[in-house]
Amino acid sequence: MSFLSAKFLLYVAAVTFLYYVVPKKKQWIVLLLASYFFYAAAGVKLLAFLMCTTLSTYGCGLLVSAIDLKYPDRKEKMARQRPVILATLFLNFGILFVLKYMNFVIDLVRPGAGHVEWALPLGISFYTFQSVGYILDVYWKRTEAEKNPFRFALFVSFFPQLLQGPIGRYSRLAKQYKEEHSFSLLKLEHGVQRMLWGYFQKFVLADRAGVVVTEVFNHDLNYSGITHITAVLFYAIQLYADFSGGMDVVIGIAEILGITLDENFRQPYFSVSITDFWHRWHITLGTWMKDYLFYPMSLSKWMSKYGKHAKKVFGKRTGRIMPIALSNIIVFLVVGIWHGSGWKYIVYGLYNGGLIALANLCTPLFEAMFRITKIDPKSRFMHVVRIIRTFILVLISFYFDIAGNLRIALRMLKASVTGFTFRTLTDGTLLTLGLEKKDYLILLFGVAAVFTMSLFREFGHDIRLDVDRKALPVRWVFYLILFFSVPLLGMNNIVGGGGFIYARF
Amino acid sequence: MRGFKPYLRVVLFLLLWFAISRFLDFGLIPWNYAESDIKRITTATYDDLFIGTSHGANNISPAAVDQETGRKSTNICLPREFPVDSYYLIKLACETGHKPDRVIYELDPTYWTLLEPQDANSYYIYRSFPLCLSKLLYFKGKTMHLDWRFTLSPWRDYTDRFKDFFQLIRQKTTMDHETFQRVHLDDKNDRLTEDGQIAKTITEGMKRGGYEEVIPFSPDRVQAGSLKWFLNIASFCKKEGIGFTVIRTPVPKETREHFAENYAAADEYFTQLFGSYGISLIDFSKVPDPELEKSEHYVDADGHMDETLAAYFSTVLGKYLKKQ
Repeated sequence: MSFLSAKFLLYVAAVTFLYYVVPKKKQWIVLLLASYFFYAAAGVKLLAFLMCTTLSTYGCGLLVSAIDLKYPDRKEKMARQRPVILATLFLNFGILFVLKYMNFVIDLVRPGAGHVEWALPLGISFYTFQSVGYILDVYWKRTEAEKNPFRFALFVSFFPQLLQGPIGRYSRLAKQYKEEHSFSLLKLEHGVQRMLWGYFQKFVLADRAGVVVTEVFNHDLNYSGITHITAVLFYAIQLYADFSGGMDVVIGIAEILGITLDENFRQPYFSVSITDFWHRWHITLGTWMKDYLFYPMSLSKWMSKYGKHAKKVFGKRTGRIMPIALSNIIVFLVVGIWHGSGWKYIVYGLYNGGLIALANLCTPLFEAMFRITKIDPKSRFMHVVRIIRTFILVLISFYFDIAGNLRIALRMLKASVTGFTFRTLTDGTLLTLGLEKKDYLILLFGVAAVFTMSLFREFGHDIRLDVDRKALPVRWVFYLILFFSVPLLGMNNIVGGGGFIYARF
Repeated sequence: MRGFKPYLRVVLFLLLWFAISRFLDFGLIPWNYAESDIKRITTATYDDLFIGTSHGANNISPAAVDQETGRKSTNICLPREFPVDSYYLIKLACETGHKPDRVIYELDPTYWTLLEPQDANSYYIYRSFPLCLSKLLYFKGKTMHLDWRFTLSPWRDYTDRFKDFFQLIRQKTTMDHETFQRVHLDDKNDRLTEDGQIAKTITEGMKRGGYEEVIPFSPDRVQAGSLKWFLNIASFCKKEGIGFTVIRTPVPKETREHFAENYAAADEYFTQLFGSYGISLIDFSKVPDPELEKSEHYVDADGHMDETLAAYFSTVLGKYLKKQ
């Protein structure tokens, strides 16, 4: 059931109605049934994978918790808990690996041997990570194991977030599912407001920018370097508007139901470094990686050994940073692989991890440079320079994300710096990329709208509160403009496409 | 009462939005041939009902067919009519008490391989339906699965017509569908006849479509949805005791030769498919008739005929249908 279909809106309306008319204690049951029905609509067979992850992580949580109570001795406890956890991780990541990466492995081992054709269960990357986070939280005693399998099933399958996240934490979500929620018009207003803003970004910006991206990245040899740069800029618009728009729709629906999901974006294009970018972009994936991979790895025995070795080889200062740098590279390698199978994703991850590691290692150098040149790194000017620098670095990473393969990405990157002429921007080439002049104007208007909103948020403005404070007629006009601008300015979907990009994960 | 006020405000807001939306629909969306077709099948009496695509709309003249069969037929083939649309058109005819004796489905294999694009044309037949059970089922079967912007704001694909907004309102408030169609839809090349044929006239300087406009058939591109809805039509007709025949209209000889492999693949696929369901297919693209093979009376390589050839073809079709 596409998030963009009328059927989905009707479904959300029906679920909301049922949710608020049943006795409050049964509300979570409505959500569970609605989530499973939603999932089954995409294919009943795929439910098996969702249920397998649900049952295995639920069982693992109970078992780990029971061992914790039964064995007071820490060593014995860990010796018994670890095999259970490892087996569950192996099972769940194994399913994800086989379904998502098998063809990539086949290509590596036996090129040309043909691919295995199977349907990828919806949102498998999201619900696997969310469930695995839960068992590690139970193991580390950050949360208690859920005893009710059905409540746990809701945590794994909550339908708005199932397809494209945000990757939720049990400690924050479970209690909200247990709480009793009363209908409130304000919640409805806020939820619809957020959904409309999400659809605006998706239809007006993402789908329109995507036309240029598809054309140029599919036929890169037909275009010069400046067109490649334009296309990657458009991809930055498309990806942000698509993913952030999708998140707004998801969070808006949850808000109507009284559930507060974690935010996934915080003005990422205002980041001052790649580290900062990953704190603002796909935040829940970043924090997941930090909590469940980066910290355990950085604090592990072998990393500590490596740190000691590095200190001997590179000196105390650099040696201290080396384990963190290595952890970052490994974490972002995983982030890259999470995004998809293929060398380009591996390079995408290594590029981000490498930049962060390099930045860590070069910090003393940068500090010295600022001292010598007497430039204040905290000045407003330097802040803007750092934003622009980071944005350029992010754009480079996007070549690997969107190009068909690594070879094309490198070829386009090379063309972007060696074969471009500014004349392309004015000689009408832009009008041959699938968009008309009016589309560029709408795009410009849309980007200005999103940029203004982001700027307000960056400076701490609560736009929603501003809207709430306006008089009713002003709010009505605002909502009518939003209601009509989505169909009026939105791009028509391409045949067979048009879904959210991250819903394919 | 005080607690009720905020809800009243929401209802008022929705009513305001609804009123503006419908006003935009009225001023931006011109009537089309579907309105006339739907009015005819829900009011007129007929024995045979032709359903299908633009090929059927252009190439089948019910008047010429009726002369041969001695029956009364009507044509509701429309451009961009996919099997799902045909299914609900038949349902509508039956619901309104105009059940035909026989449905003749004009098969265009191209439509079976296309994933229907989402634009205003995906909705125009649905929009023309009167408010009834079939429309509700049509919404459930097709419309609600498509992009919600068209469902809630059908006017969105006609925004280039803002300049004619008030003119269209004037026309719609002073004319009925048939008059509107005669004055604003019929032109020197297209004319909707009283029995539903969109008769084409070749005029001097008219651009004729070439091979590039032909979408060749390939069995591996057949969409599951097309097959599903076609089988729904067949089983609905069976259940209602309506005769069901499938025909395929001819194409110029050159087109058949140019896409020989694709035509052979389509022949094999549909013969096998229909054979397995016991459905009869009359494929006029295989009937050796020198008149039907000449390209000068076709408006394009894809097989859309002008009025003269359509009349001839309909006579041939009538003879075949009479034998059935």
